[in-house]
Amino acid sequence: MPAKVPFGFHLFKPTASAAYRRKRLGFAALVLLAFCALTAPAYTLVAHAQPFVLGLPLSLAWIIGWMLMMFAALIALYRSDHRA
Amino acid sequence: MDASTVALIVCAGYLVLTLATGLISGRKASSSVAGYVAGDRSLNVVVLYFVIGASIFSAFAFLGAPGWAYSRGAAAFYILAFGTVGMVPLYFFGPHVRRLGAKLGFVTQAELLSHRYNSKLLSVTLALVTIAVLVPYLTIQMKGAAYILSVISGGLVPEWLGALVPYGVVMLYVLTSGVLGVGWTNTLQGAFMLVIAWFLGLYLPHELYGGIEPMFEQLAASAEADLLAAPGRDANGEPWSWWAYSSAVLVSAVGFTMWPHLFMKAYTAKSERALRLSVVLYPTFQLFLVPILLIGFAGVLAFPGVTPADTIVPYILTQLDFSPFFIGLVAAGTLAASMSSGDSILHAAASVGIRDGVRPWRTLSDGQERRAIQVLVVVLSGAAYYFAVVSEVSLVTLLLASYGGIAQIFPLVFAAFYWPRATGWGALAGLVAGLAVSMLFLLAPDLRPLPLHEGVYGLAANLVVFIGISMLSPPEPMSRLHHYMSR
Repeated sequence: MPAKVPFGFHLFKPTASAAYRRKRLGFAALVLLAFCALTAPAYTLVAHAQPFVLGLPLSLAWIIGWMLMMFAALIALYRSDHRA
Repeated sequence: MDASTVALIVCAGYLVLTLATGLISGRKASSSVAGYVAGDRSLNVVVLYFVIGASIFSAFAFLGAPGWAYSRGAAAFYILAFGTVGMVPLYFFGPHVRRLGAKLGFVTQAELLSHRYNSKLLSVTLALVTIAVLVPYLTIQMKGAAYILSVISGGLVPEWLGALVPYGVVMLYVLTSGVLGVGWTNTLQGAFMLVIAWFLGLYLPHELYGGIEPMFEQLAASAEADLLAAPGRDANGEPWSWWAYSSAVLVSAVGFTMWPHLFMKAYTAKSERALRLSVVLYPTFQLFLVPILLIGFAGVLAFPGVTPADTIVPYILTQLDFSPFFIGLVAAGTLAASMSSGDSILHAAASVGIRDGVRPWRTLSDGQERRAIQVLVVVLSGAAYYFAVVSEVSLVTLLLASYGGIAQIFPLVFAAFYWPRATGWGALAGLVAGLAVSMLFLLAPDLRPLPLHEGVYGLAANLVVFIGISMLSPPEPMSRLHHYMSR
């Protein structure tokens, strides 16, 4: 623990490995990507009904797809966090 | 026996089962405040999963959300979109919250923040904000319960009775069993909601159109085809703007885990693993919004012109030839959705009111504090009941303001753990600025430079003031910060 209050962000403990930091920052980037995919301007590209995907309009299937993607990513993160 | 009597008997059966579950579940808890508010930090992943899911999805799930799909189409996808990213922060800060709660004895959100920022004023401000957003929220849950009972009984159950009986049950088990009552009843209610929603959402498109794809094909070929193109329509039936849609997703996602009744469930987890796993599994609960939206879309061509749109589910139920027993089950599912949020909201508002509004100024023994929380449970139930049934005062503005308001807590929580330089004065000033700007643009939408959700302007003001004042004020001592910096 530093003696003085640091100025910037304190995201990790000093002993956190580079692999651990990469994994978490990578995950944060994925969340940001998902947010961008679900809002304008990216979402405007797939915001229409056709083509249907598994019986659902593309505009809905796109969001469900990202939801499942985040679910899979969370499972992967959890598994690697609690492997030991 | 006539149809409405059968449906009411089914609802009564559900209420008796819920009450019994709620009363029995609290017997194991200690009589301390930690037992009442945080369940002695003992909840396992199954209960946590349902508490989180069922607390989030309120009467809105069975009334409002299908109504959105019915009248606003793809605008309703917004609810799925913000949930997809909104729950993730809890995976990261939740375990820290839980650990600090066990170490320093916290059971509420404001307790953690007022300790980190060393500010009693912050504690009281957060207590006021919590009660100001949760009481209107509780009020609409009561209205939802009263409404569904009135509809299925053909008007036989008046509004005052339809709110009184379900929320009498809620008050009883929240009073006696605290959060464990909330937890175990939510497990029952959550499972029930899921089954009803999935069944109805898959059945109705099949019954009315021969399947989900044929339903959407007919919709796409009809004059209502624009409902399927995001971002759908606004509340007036005009095309919703991308600015408004995207900023609403942002504000709702940022605020999602900040709702005090959800945030404080992190303290109830028995382990870091249980908490994380319940966050990981949350999308499986959230997926039930898909059949919920299908119910709303099923109404568009089959039952045009239903107003208000929130009544589409009960309307469809009464138009189709369902058995009264099944109608009773759907009504009970709606009650479950209402009550499983209502109980959590009531319990949180009362706990926060005493713990953060009173205790910083007055010393209370553990027993006195628990009793004071229980008294406030009764008072807040009464207040919400008054607004739901008696008063003509509309709480809609407060309710609308709540989404932008709650999001303003996010920078404080983030900085509590990840930005040591953040100070108490910065946090308080940022929060107040965020709330004020958000409220201003809600009440005077014409002043907005772009048609963005008012919460975005609030967040911008919040960040500028929070960072600026923090830089100008002396940092909190390392002896306090090390609790938040150690991982």
